[in-house]
Amino acid sequence: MWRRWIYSLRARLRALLHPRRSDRELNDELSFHLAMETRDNVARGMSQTEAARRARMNFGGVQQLKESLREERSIPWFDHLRQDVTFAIRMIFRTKVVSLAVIVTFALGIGANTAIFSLINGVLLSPLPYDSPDRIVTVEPFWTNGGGPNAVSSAPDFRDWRERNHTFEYMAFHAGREVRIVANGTPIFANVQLVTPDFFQVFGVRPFSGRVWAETEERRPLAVVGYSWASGQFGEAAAAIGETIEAVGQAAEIVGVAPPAFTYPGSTDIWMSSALVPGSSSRGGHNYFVVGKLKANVAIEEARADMRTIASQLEQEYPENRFKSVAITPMLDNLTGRARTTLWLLFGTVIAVMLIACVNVAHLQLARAASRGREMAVRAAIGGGPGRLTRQVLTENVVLGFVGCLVGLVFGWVTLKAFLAMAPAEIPRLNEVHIDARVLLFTLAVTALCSLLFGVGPARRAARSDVSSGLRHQTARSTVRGIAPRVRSTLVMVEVALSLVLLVASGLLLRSFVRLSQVDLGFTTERVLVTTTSYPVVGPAGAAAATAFYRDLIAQLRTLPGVRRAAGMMTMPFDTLRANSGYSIDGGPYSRDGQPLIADIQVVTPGYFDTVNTPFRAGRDFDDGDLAGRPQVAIINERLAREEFGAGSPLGRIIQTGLTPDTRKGMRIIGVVADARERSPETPPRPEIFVPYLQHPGPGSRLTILTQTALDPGALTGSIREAARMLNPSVPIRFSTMDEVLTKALAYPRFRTTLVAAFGLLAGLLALIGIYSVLSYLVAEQTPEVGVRLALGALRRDIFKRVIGASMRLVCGGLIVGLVLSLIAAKAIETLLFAVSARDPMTIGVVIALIAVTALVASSIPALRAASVDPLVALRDE
Amino acid sequence: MSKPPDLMQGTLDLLLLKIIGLAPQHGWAIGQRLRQVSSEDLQVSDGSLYPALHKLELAGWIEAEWKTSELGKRAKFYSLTPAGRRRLEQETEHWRRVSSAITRVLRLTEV
Repeated sequence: MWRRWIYSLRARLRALLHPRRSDRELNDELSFHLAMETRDNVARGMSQTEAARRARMNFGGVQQLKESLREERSIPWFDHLRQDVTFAIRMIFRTKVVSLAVIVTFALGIGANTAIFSLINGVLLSPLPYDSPDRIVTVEPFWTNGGGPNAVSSAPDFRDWRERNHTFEYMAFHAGREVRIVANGTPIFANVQLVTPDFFQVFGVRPFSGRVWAETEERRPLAVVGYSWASGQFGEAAAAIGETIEAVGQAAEIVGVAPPAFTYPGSTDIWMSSALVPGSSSRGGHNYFVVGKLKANVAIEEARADMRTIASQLEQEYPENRFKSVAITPMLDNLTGRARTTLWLLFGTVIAVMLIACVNVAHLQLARAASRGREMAVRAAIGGGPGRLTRQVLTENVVLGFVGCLVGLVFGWVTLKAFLAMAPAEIPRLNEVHIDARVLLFTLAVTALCSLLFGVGPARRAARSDVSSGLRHQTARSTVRGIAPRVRSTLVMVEVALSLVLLVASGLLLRSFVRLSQVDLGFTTERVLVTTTSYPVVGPAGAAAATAFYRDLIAQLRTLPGVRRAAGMMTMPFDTLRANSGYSIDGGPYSRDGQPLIADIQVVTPGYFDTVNTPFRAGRDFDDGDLAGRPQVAIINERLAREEFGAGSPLGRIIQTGLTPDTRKGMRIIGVVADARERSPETPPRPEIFVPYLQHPGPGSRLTILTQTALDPGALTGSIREAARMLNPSVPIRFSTMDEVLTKALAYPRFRTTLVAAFGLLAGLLALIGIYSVLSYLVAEQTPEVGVRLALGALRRDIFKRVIGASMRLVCGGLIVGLVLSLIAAKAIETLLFAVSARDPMTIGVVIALIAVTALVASSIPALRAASVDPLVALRDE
Repeated sequence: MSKPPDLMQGTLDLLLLKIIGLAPQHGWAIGQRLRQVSSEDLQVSDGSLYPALHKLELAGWIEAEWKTSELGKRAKFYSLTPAGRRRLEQETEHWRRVSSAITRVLRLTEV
């Protein structure tokens, strides 16, 4: 049946698109008919003229027929639409200022929405660029005794999960970091991941060039390299095949190049093959990220049940696995978990901005509708039905809306570029953020919705004008009086309420951010140079060589002019991957009240605490005598000391951890240092154990060197690089400063605070403009009334008070509604706040005062204008 | 009754579809043919013929094509679309049912 529509559509389109041709065809058809009829008549014996006359007579009114056929062909609504659009464009040009205001307001709202929706679309909504992305999941240990999920798993657990499950098609692990590698004979840093054979199968990666390895492959190290890394290193990606790189103490042959889009996890440069079952047999050593692909048609709940069963078996079999269950998360959720709240918060913000923009547009349209009361009355008087008039005004709104949409898209594109430039690197998938078809569709839908939703009211208002009074009154605007003020008042209140919500949210985030920036980290970030190195470690002897390298380097650095102190540490502050371990005191249990005792573990060199200005509360620092063969020692932080020893002295007590056989025997506590926020500025300090690097050569073989400098840290990089090169030329070296590390750690809250605050200000500004324009309008409308009052003896002061009073009543109404709304909204962003209550009275008070004062100023201008009305002029106008 | 009876609503469409279904024709010939076949019993004025044809064309039942006619002039020839052909079958069937039902009713005699 649909084919009929094609024929029908073709016929209609022909009439629509070629009106002149179809007119000509109509003429031809009818004149052909007449010619045939004439010929017939001649054949019947009539003269030529008579025959033609009879033919025409027989036919009836040719012109009328043509007219009716033409009407048949045309589509009336289309013609009306064309008229409306033409007229709308003319009207828009005639009221340039208002139109421009509408377009700009709309464009601001649309632009903000487009930019934020692009982010949401690219990061949260669009599927991951892998094969069957919805089947890819992460598998993590989950501590059922309150510890929650743990990102990394142990090797034996992974092996058992992989062998015993029935729901996974593939399961693989990856583990890695930025390390030193040698490529083309040069030592450089690269992001290297050790991965098991199934890793590429999980994602369905088809290599750009070469191949990926399979499980059956021979046991020599192989590598697959990233496309952009390979292009950078070898000029051309495919040229990498067959080359050998040296990493983590092994030489590996490059057998494949990953496609450009594949860099998981993060921005990996090199994937190295790892034995399926790594050497580690410790179920407590959690080092591996596990990813998996569910079998087709296996629901995630089935996989969860399956894995939980395995986990409880393991809990029975191994005491270390007590309380250890498994959490399975869709990879998209896992990747975007942290960005989610921020992005939805931003989305909520821009929607509120859009609402305020729409309310302003509605104001402007109402004002315009009012000023066109007379025009509408004339139209209605000469036969324009309310439906037709509504549609015409609505068309104007839609045309304005779409122009605003176009401008808004440009604005949104620019804004998006700016967002992407300042967005923290932790937001995943930013390279997948584009203004694509879905974004355009969203923008169009928002535009259509807003211009209709906020246009129908003013349009109907305009069309409903009273013909007789509209024509009778001299002033153009008087007809809409009486009804509009109530609508306008509501709009003002809505605006005030919404902007209060946004400004309170901005205020809370700003205050949080200020608190966060000023939080006592427990270590200094000023003038501390961070030197990142990566020493190639092969075997136990390699670890010793590495430790020696760091000992010598630090000693060298201390002699450099401009260096005040220097030391090394294993895990940099704010690194997401941190070592932790269970502990016990004086040979006691590793748990208390059923809760395991867990502390962060940090490996440092002597002098670390001085270098970052972390004060000692008791005891001493490590020294060069704390060597491998000597009694094991440890320094604990204040929190651990308080929790374990209360007011008593921890010095000389013994603490055990599961770290190494030596530490299991126990370490003597020799010092207590102040707490430090090493995990993140937001996270309160946790119990922490510091151990000396010389007693832990394994972790001590990859240290980051911190140097406290007297002057600008950047000035020292040359001499430090030289010192390191003298010791070992094959160690790559890189610099940053502790301040930069901190800035990076604050990038997320800074990003969201800046954006929400910017949108909050935009919203506030729009609302202010709205209040001002409504009041100006109302005052202008009431000028004649004011004239009468003045003429009857009212004081100008009273007039002023009246206007201000009216405006403040609206503002107060809006503030009350907004207060309730913002208490709800603040609850929603509570998790993003730091050291600020969601009901922080200070923030709320300041915002309310700010809105009230600016509203007062905005309304005093029209109020002054009203008070300075010349009664004579005002009355004459009437 | 000297005047031919008015065509029932919708019947004209059926007749036109039928005639066009026999062979693609132009408007004048369709009118002529209708008159001939019905022995002048069914008169369709030219004023209603063309609107009806155009309506059928816009509805997609028939399509039009410009061809050279017997006069050597270009004329608009109408032919059935596949949908129009099906429509004709359905309408014919429908007409048969309705007319036979009417006939049965009219045959009733007083008891």
